[in-house]
Amino acid sequence: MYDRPHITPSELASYLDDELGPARHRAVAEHVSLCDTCHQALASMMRGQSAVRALAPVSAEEVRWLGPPSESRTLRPLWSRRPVAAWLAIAAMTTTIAIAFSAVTPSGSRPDTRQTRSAALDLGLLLTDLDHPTGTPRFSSAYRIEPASFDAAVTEADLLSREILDRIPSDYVLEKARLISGPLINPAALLDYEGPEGRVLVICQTRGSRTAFSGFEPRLLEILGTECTSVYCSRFKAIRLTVDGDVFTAVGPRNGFSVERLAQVLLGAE
Amino acid sequence: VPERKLIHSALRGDRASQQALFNQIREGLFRVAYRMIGNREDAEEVTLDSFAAALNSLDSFDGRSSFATWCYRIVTNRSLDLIRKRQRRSHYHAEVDEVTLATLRDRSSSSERTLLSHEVQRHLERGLASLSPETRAAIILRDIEGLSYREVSDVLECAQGTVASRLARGRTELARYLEAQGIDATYFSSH
Repeated sequence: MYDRPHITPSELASYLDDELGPARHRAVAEHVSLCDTCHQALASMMRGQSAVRALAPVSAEEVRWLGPPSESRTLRPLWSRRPVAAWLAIAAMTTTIAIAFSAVTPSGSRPDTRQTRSAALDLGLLLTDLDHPTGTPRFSSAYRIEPASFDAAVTEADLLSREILDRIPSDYVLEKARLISGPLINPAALLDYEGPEGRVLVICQTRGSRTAFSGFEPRLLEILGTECTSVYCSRFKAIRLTVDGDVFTAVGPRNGFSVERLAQVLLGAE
Repeated sequence: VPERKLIHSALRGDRASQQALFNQIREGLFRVAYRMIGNREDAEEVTLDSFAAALNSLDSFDGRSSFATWCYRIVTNRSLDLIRKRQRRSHYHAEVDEVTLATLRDRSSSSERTLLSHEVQRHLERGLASLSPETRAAIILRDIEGLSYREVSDVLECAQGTVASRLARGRTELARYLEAQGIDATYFSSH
């Protein structure tokens, strides 16, 4: 029986990783070849290391850098996000556009009875208690921003949705979770605006809630019809998750929450 | 473009340079976050937040380590923070993680399919998750990301001896965990 003191585990790890000096490396190699205990300990470490290396690769292809958050994106009440002069300028511009638009509208055409939307964005907080038996999705329009483009809208929505999540007291989420025992709170930032390209919905879900809306864009677009030209779901949702018909399996079957239901909420039919 | 030049331009607010830096390290940061945290959406968020934090404090980057190593430190610390926060909310996240595992299983049938069976992958992921966060971080940085002991010690801000002992503990515990699940030790060498 080999009676030299055993090699310490950390030295065995260093030996396995070729992190020892040449002399020490040789000494450990010799010891391991003679000492059954150390030999087995090393073999175990090697198995653990091989196992970790056999983990399936993961890809970050969906992680997009949209630029750092700027101070202007800090979640503040609408009126405080811009100086008064800027608001006056926006108001004047909006009025001018409205007058110009009404001037070119053909006379005698049927009045549009649909709820008209501002050219500006409505950013709201969608809180859905999807798993609650009596939970009702509700949407509250709270913030308005004016992005210059669709890309800017997406960026704003992404950032604001995170800030909105930060504003939700964690106790509230926890309490709800305890009550209904599941990932049920689905905060999302919703941007709904009329851009030059038509009506655009941008839905940005926050962490832990992506399963709710994943992959629903084409179907929602179909439901909303010509009213909406594009639907975009931000990086906070995953497009690869399972869809069972129109109902998302992660949250749907137990409570009947469907794309149609979401469409109702978005269209203000609640 | 050399990294130093990119950092310099990024520091001046050049978006293209920031993007180029991000593209260089995105995969690595995400892998670390994902393997630390165990779910994709949180990992994505931590990846982006870490890069934003790196940019915000870019002027304090002294160049003693590589930019990637520096970012690894940020993403590791943020992942550890999130794990600690989760532990305080263990009830809630236990539920979420079950959902995440289910979805991981679902989507592993496509682009991320590997030679290993889903079941073994699941055990592997659980085994890794069973390690203490600090041990897990050392294992991920060394055995998945291939960082040297010096780099790992730099990222984790501990001595190289500590790195070695965490690696020893983590590998041994993982091997034991898998054996306890009835997974043949030779499985990994043959796949």
